[in-house]
Amino acid sequence: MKSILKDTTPLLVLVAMVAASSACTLKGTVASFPGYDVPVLLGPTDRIGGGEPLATKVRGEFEEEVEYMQSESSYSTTTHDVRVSEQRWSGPYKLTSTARSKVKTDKGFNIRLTDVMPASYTMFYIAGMKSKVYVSVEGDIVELEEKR
Amino acid sequence: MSTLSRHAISILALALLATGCSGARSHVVADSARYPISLSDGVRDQDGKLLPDEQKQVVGGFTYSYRAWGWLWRIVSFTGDHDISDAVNEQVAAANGDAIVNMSVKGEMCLWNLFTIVGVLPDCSNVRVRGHIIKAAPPTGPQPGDVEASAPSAALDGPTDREPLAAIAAAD
Repeated sequence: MKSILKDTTPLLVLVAMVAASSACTLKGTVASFPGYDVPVLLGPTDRIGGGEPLATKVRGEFEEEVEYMQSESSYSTTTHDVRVSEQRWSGPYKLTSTARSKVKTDKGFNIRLTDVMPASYTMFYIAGMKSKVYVSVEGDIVELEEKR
Repeated sequence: MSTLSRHAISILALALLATGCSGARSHVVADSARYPISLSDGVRDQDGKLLPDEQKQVVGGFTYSYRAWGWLWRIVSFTGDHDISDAVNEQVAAANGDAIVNMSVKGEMCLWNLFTIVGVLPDCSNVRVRGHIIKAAPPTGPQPGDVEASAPSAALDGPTDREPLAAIAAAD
């Protein structure tokens, strides 16, 4: 019995770590552009009322990712057990910041999103786990041909 | 069975159980949305000019959630593209709005992640999409009569007052 407990303890510890980390990871992360004036458009309609899309020229690409990542691992030395825990988070203001660095608040531009991908993954291995939730955003920076 | 082989089998079983990976991904699209959808504060009026904050009146909240499923890390996506166009068209029309601004896409893990420890089961991810449905007010400012005439549906979540967007943002 003692031997079985000894063998299964690492597995039990791992399951507990996974449970704890999954509960934390449920927080997730958010992609948005708060406080930014340049339209960041998803879909074909680029103005109120619809109609023919405004004539634009592609001036650059936009690509950014926000994430919530947590990892747990452990190892043993001859004298003690070591547990390493890491957390990383980024949210909407990262997107605003990146957008501002690429497109100043210039009224003649739009960002037209071509991909908004929420995703998550979890990796388990013998000495720990890593889980990550992220939303990656890709698109084109377009300039209106006719200044408004 | 010798103690050595028992330990070897235990360690191997433990390694198989404790090694795995799982994940899910999806792509949010709105290919047939009839209204402009912006993830920022900015939206353009019919003439293509940026609509000033004082002309953006929040008339409702856009909400949409779904669960994406995938397998083998994120290699196989069962969900693929997830089109929110119908929800956008329905909710904006119901609120008598003109556009969605401040849209946010939130990714979350789901509790099923706990069961993917063996690494061969599908995995999921919760996605929540939120935004402000706005109506463009005339440049001269809102008229009291208009406010009563187009009050938002009580069934909608989120901010439903016809207040300028700047006021809503300040309150947040």
